[in-house]
Amino acid sequence: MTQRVLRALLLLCSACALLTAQRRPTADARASYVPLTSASVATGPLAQPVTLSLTRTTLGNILTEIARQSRVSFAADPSLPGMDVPCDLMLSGVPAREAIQRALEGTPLRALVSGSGQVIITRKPSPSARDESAPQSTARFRLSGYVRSQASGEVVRRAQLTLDADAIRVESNEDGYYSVALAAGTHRLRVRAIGFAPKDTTLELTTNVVRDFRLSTRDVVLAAVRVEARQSADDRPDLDPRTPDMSVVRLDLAAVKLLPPVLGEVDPIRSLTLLPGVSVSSDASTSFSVRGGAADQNLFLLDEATIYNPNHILGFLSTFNSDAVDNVTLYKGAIPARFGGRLSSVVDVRQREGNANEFKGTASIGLLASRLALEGPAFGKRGSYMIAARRSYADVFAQASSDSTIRNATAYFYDVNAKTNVRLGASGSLLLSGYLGRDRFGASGLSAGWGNRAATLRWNQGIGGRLFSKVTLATGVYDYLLEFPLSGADSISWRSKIASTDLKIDESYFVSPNNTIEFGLQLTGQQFRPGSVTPRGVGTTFTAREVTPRFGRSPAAYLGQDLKFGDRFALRYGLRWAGFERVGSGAIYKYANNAPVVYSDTLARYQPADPIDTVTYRSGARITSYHGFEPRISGRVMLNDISSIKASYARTQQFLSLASNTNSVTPLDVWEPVGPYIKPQVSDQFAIGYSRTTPAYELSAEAYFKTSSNAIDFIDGADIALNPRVETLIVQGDARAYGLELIARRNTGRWTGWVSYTLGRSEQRFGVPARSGGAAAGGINGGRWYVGPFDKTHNLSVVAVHPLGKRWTLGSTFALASGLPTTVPSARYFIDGLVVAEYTDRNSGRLPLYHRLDLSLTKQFRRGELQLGVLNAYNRFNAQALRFRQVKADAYASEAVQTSIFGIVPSISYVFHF
Amino acid sequence: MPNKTLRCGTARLCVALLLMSGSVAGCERVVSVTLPTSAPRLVVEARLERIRGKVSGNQEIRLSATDDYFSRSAPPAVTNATVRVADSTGRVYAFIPSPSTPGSYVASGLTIVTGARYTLRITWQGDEYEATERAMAGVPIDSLYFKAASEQGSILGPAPTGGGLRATFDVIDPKGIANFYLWDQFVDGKRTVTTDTTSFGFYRAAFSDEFIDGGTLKDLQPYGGVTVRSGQLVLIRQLAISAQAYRFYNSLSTQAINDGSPFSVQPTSVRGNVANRTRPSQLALGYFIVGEVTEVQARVP
Repeated sequence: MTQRVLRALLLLCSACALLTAQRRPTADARASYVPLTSASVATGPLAQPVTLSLTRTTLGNILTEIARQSRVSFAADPSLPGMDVPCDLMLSGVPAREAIQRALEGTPLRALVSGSGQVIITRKPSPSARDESAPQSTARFRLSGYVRSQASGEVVRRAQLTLDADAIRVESNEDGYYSVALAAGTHRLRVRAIGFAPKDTTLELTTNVVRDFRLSTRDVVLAAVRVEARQSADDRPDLDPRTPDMSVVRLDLAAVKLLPPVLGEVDPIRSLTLLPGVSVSSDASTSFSVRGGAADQNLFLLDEATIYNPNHILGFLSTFNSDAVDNVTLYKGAIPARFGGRLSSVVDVRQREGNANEFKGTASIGLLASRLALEGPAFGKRGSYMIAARRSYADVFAQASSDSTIRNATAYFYDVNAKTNVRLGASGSLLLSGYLGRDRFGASGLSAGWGNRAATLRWNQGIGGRLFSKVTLATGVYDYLLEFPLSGADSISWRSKIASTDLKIDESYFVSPNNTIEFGLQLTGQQFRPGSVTPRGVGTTFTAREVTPRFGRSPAAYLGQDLKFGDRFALRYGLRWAGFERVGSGAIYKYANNAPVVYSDTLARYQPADPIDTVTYRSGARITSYHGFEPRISGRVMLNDISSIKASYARTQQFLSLASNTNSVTPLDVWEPVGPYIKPQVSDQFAIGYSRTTPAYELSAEAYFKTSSNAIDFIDGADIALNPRVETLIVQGDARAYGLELIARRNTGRWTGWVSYTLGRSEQRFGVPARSGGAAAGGINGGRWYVGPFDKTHNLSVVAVHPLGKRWTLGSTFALASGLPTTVPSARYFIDGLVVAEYTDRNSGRLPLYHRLDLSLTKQFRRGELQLGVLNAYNRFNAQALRFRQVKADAYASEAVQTSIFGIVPSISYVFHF
Repeated sequence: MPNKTLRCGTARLCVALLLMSGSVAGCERVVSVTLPTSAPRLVVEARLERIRGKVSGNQEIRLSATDDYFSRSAPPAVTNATVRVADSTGRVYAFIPSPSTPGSYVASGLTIVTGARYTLRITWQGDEYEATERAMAGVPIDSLYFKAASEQGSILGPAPTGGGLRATFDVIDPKGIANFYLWDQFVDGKRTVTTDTTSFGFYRAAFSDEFIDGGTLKDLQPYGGVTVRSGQLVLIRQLAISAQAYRFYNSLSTQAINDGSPFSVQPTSVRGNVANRTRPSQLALGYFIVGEVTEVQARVP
């Protein structure tokens, strides 16, 4: 019994020691490495006996074996001379310290040891060099290059490089490029990234070095291995307390693939909605609200090209194919100065570059869609390519239906992602990527198609190890085409389109590991074609009509700096200037008193004004312009090694909005730019946060307060489609949102996952527009503050992943949220025998509580995965909408009807890697 | 209007999706909810008509009050109001309660002149209500005939399902004038009213010539959801309405066809043109319409 207690105590002590060692990289550890030969008598791992019987084994492997037996912490750069030379070594019960010395005999290498017992292998100093223990030379050299995946050669974005036991930290950028200035001499280096095993190495700096680091993938294929790998707790944590990043979430796509899919499709955007501060508006839609903002306030970038409507099947699924994407970052606040254009968030999605080492393929078949992805080296291994495609086949299933309308329906979507890159020299690359997606739907003569196209050409170049330069040309297009029949053989087609082209120059200047400067320029040209209808056929009397296209130019420039002051303080600040110039050609309507919306006090309603004149502008002529500065600042203070507090402020501007008064975002929504009547929306956001990371848990808490001006809403009864005077339907007001976001994430152990909770409120206020002729007491809900359409008081998500045996993994997500606001009637009346509801104030009611459990089971095979999923496992009838209608059988009775999008939905998919 | 077509299409897509996903839960469910109540408000259904080609026309003003939303009784009739209509010359016509129909007010001697302005004034429970509208000129109906619903649907929306004859007619829209139409159908003297609001769009629509100015509206079946049988007498009444009245009916229609799908617009109150001069926030609901009516009548062969 006593023995047991003693052993437990012993274990506890060693655990504590281990923990302290990990938490507190002692000052001496980083300060001085002494030659192993001169170190005082070895204790601990260095004194452990080692027995070796190795022949024709490389030095690297011999050292690894010594380290394995003795548990010595050791790092060596495999490219050091002699590391790959095979030799023989026989030892029996020799202390590790001696074994290392024996192994290095006759090589140009030597071993150094730190105060905490960490061993590194370096070159022997040349005779002219000064003794290692003497103060090192003050010369500084620059180490720069890319962090890449060992397996595929693809760049690893946002990898973290820590040097000399945490003394210096730098991060690779969105293109995997890093740069750091270091003192000459030997450095110990650890590179970590989400989804990769950490890599330790040493290097000796005697000149500027361009060096790529290659990380091995953390094995997520076998559930058991994955957990073991995670137990090292050396993954780069996502909610790192050390970075000044705030309100930023990066998705670990490998982990996302274990979560319950939507009909077999892994959707990165849906996974984002399980995070705090992000609330989804509908089961049918991936469009979401960030911190109370509207759905059109999120900027979706796919390789820097704007995706205007990132939805398939009316929003059931996002356009981002998980096979083609390797990085999804959501900025909810403290948006870096290089991003702009939307008020609430930026979703930065990057496509994979493709495997530069060998040809690989993935094919999958699921209930909703099939996918194929191919990748491999290109340009004589100086580059790579990736191409991924998928197509859904809802119409195949529909043919089994007994309803002839459904049987004859067409309903599918497809998309293709492609990317290729070629390296230019040691630190440059040229990338070309593209996306094409389309939904097709046809029933009862109606045919509809909509989709996005995007293309990006980018030149990345590291210059002198100090400057990283990106020049990007990107274009994004969204359009739709509807065709429906009139009488006889006649039909009409209706098209709409938005397109933009961006030229961006982004520069990062790495002054020192504690000082990075970013600056850049952007120029965007936009065209909006809200809609045109064209009749076809001989007998038609339908007149062709086009809503005047709108054109805009949007210049922007920014300057930002990242600073670190010692270990405790970090500051990131920036200033962005952005403008929007509405230009011709085009016709601008004039209204009495310059007010396109009039407010009638006597009728207590907004009314569209009738135009009194039209002014026509020739092509390129300026109509109106807006511009403004957007300051951004965020800082952090480390409280200790594992926790920090952060604070941020950011201003954002938005020059276009989605003209939609439907229940949720639909493919037919049209973007409307600012102009003579519609003013840009401007938002200010303040946030404070606390984050704490231990090897097992990551915790983060953030509170935010956001105000917006010129928020947009639509007047009652607005008929937006094909309306050439959208300005007569829009009122602008104020919006504000505040809330508290909590997330706790567990990365190790048998159960991994997170719990996220948001307590929030978002409100808006629309008074009587200026010059509209109304008294001050009017407006929506009498001009008082009322809850916004996305307001959810409570929003809880629980995500859990659990391995079952060696091959199976259970994934589950549970969501519990307050119902969304809705508008309910307080009275009814009859017009021509039909019941009409008279509603109370807008958004004064609530839908019932929302909750849903999704489950998935993933089985790993050698070359594939089988995934079984079930959405809404206990078949909760979640309200999408609550509406009121007259009862068919009784003209005087009415009823309340709740609509739900889906009940229990099983799915199956199989992925095959080749 | 094209919106309507698409909304119906997407409702079907929703069904297709549900079938495909093997969902066992239905798309919708009747639930019981507790709703707030509000003080009764005045509801006006006022139509001053002049039959095209004649000097006479129906001139009826019906007044009722709002009721609790889930009330199961007929709308409470307002019988104790004072109702007057003034024409543009300042002459005032008193509307007196109809002895046969409670809540209905009628006048004699009022002849509507197209293009003239008319002002409705109602006094009820101490509040003075007022609405002004211009009498709109009517458009002839080219012909009334009976045929099956077109498979492709028509300019008014997608085709209703099922066979059988429907009252069908053509209208030649005058060029260069913004015309707004509202159609009523009477079968054997009984007005066609549907309470099936989910297919309201198939039955009843106000129509704007915005996209078809000067063209022929062929094969119109505004009540295509209702079949007619041989021997029945069908009367079509086409009322010329103003842009404001069109917005009122269009808004009514949009609200009524709200099916809870993502394409439906958010529910909003429908606002007419009758103001409360005494207490502006307590405005009356409903509409005051003045216009020419085109009537055609035919017996189903």
